[in-house]
Amino acid sequence: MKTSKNLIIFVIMCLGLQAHATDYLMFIGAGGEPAKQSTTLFDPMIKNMATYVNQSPGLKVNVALNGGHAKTEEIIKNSFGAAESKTNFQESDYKRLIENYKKKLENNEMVSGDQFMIYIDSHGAEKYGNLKTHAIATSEGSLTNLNTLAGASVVNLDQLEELKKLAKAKGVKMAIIDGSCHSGNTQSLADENTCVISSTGPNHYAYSPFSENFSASMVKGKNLEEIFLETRGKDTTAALPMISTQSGQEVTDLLYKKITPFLYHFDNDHDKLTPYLKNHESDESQCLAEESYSSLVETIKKIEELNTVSKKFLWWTRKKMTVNLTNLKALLASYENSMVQVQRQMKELGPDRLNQKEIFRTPSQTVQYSWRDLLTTDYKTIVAGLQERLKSATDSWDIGQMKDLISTYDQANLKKEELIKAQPDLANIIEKESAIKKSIASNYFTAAAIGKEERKLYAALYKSSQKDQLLDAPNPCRNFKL
Amino acid sequence: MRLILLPLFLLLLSLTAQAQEWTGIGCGTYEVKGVVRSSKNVLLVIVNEKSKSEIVITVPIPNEALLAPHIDKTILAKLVINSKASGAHILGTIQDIQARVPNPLASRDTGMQLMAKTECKK
Repeated sequence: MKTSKNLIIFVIMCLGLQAHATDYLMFIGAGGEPAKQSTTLFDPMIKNMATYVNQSPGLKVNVALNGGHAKTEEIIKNSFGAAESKTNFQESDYKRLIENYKKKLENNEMVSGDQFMIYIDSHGAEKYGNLKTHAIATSEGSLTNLNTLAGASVVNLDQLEELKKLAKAKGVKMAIIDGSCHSGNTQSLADENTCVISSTGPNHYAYSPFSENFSASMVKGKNLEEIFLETRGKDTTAALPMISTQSGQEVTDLLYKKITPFLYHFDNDHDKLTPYLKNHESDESQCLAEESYSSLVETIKKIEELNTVSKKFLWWTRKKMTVNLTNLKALLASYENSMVQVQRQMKELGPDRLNQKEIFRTPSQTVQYSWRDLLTTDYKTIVAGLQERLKSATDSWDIGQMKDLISTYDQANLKKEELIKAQPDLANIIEKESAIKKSIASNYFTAAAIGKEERKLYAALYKSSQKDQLLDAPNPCRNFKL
Repeated sequence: MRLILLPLFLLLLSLTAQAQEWTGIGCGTYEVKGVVRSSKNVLLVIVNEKSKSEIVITVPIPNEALLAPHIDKTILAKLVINSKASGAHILGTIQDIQARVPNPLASRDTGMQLMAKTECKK
């Protein structure tokens, strides 16, 4: 009788503690978008977060988002009614929020058992300098480069380090969700108390669907690990979402480097594949890349074997793969083959010759043309046009300058003819180079198709790793329940 | 009091009127995404081609030599503007130019971005 009375008191106490635990949310980002447009690509995610916040009574929220985009600002204005603060996302806002939460932790306003989530979704840079994490764009400025965030003002996420240390010391459960490009760099903030979820790897772009789907899946009662796995499974982009659980880290270690180039593609403005190929031109690098590809294929085959069940029917055994990665293998093989072919053909063509420079001098100027310039320019037509202009020119200064220009073009044309005479293959090297580039089977859709198939491999590897985990091993992502 | 306010008001009006004449492109160094064309045998850079905000950039005759390898191609260039522009025609000097492939998915993949502002020469 006494035992059951104590049990009831214990349950009531637990319920009481549960009731007092408070959830905190710091929601920041939506910066770096082009000026002169009213919407941003973050709008759907912001709406989803607003739904989650509205369905979470008692959640204490601070919002610092965007600035300068009318429709986005309208969404923010009409949402998050109960937020403690709601501002644009400028450096000063970021610093103010960090200071506020530090005080809350230091003054024991946030206490053991509470949960603190920092949700970040902005444009994110590659890691640079001595940063442990990476930088994200604020609302000041519009970026012109998705890798460096040139043009945008930025803040770095290293500044969250102190917050997560304080949270750990106070027993406050912590989660950092980073939906930006190159957010894999934020994984370095993870520890046994801090769950970190990134929408992509440290060297890859992120795409909107991950953060949109993640925020849409944020429902009371779910834990962050299950939301991540559910969201990752749905993702069909060329990104590589990451989680800091032990299983997540194991799969990342096994997979990330090997699959990295296969999720790159040719892109006019923000190409990661061309620099990658340029860095792997040497025979040694190509050899390593081939080894890496073979190892990836081996991993895939092992996973297929592990997930093959045998069914006996009389004397006949039927094998069935529960994880079928045939498509992934075919896509990787086709991509790999295409890359090898292109690298071989380009090497044979020797387009590096075209970067050599020639200098042409006239009394009024010195001009430098690359061999590529010389081979692609029709100097004879330009000179004919200049001679027409000369006929109607009256200003002696202009006439002198035009004559100089004609002399420059004549010299350039002479050099062009000399080059082709000495190296006849130069005559059609530009056309050949263009044809080789066109043969590369790489665009966003091929990379995304590989991404889509990679989800199955990741899920199988994750599941397999989970089986080996100790049940009582710390898992801050599973312990963080909405 | 009215006597003081009236000239001040007129001065403000004249300043506004002067500002309206300005095309919005001041002096400085710009990053230009456009296309090189040969028009009446003169080599030019055109930004926002065939749109209401088309800008035609002419360069000094010797500077045309930098444009020659890029005729009818899209380019990314560093442009220095030293004097006030009139209308949609600008006179500037190209300092650096390279070919670029336009992004077919971005409808407005052309434009001018101010990198460093300078005072216009008189």
